[in-house]
Amino acid sequence: MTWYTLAPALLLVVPALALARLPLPIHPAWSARLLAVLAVSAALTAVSTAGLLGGAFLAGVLPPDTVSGPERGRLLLEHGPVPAPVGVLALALLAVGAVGTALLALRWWRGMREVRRHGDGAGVVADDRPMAMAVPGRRGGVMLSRGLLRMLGRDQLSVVLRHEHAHLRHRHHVYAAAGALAAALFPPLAPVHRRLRFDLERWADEEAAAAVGDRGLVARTIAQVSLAAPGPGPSWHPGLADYQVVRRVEALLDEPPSANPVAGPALLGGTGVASGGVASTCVELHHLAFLLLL
Amino acid sequence: MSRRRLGQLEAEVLAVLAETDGFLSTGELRERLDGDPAYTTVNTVLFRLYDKGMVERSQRGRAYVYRLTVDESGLAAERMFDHLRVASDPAGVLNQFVHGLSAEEAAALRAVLEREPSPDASPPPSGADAPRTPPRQGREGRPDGP
Repeated sequence: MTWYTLAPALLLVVPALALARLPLPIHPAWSARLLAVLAVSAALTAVSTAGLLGGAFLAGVLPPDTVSGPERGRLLLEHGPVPAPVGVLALALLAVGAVGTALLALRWWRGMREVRRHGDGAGVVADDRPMAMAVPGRRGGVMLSRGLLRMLGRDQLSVVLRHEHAHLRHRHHVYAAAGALAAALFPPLAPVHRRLRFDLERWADEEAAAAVGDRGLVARTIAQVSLAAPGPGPSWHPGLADYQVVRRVEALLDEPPSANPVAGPALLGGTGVASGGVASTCVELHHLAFLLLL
Repeated sequence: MSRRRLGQLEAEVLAVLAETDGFLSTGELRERLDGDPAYTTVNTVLFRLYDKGMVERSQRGRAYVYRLTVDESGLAAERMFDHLRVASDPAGVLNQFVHGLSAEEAAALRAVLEREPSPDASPPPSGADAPRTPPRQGREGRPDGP
């Protein structure tokens, strides 16, 4: 094992985390796309690297005659000895990723079941708390609570509808799911997932602001609804307070972001090609680990 | 009639229906809408909303009358919203407009709103319970786009 083994994973994980912490001054739509691409490729690369290291570690630990007999075992051994701490860490990461992904799948399935049990996604529900959400899917749509309809004036209601329609039109649930998957596979990417969710909300806010032509109105609507919305649930803890609503309102009271018609696609294309290249080299290495498992 | 204008009307129609308890005919609805939209346009919007299950209709004489569909069972909504309240939907199935605020977040938000003078002299709501009956932002006849 050399440091080069870790290079692909580091090449993707470090920029992803850096972007989550210090976002580029680009439109949230481009930032969200960039983060989604980086998150998924970084997670895949990290898991592949962990698989390779874990496989090589196991091959080194197991009795030599069980491993070196078949051709594939020898390939892993040729990769060089893997220090025990690294091997154990890699295996632990794989286990955490597997459990996290299973939990995520379960949550996803439960969420979809809740949506289906409700029947149609769109509609007004008799709830006096002001709430609105975009329900994806063929029978999806915007779900509003009666409390929201009663609380908001027409202009503000239109802001909410446009915000939710932007989520549906741009398939934001796919981005959100990609980010959630990346964070489940490789938990250190959790900040990237959070940042991605924030950028998706910002994206929908900007779409709503462009449609109604009044950024202040969007900001006030968000502030008003969130102040009246029910507080966080029982499983919430202070560490989760990320001030997302506050930052959204601040951003809307600020100048509108540039649409980045050139920089956005260029950045995304460059990142896509680069991360695709890095990820594919890593996945090729990973074939070795797969061979061991087969 | 652009998609965008239709979307705007959709929101306005929903808002008008939300203010009313009974059924409204297309004509009655049209009277309460700003900007005097065409009868057929309002009908189109109503049909789309009906298609989406957001309004229900019944027949009065020869015309249809509409009202907001409200899922009175409440149970489904309760489950839905409770699902969301747990760490704001980590699996990303749903996108919620806003999540509720913790006390610290609410304080920070009010600080931001106070710092920013409102452009049209409608002061931001203060106090968590105040915005339940807000002043309507009645900007009638706002020009739609350029």
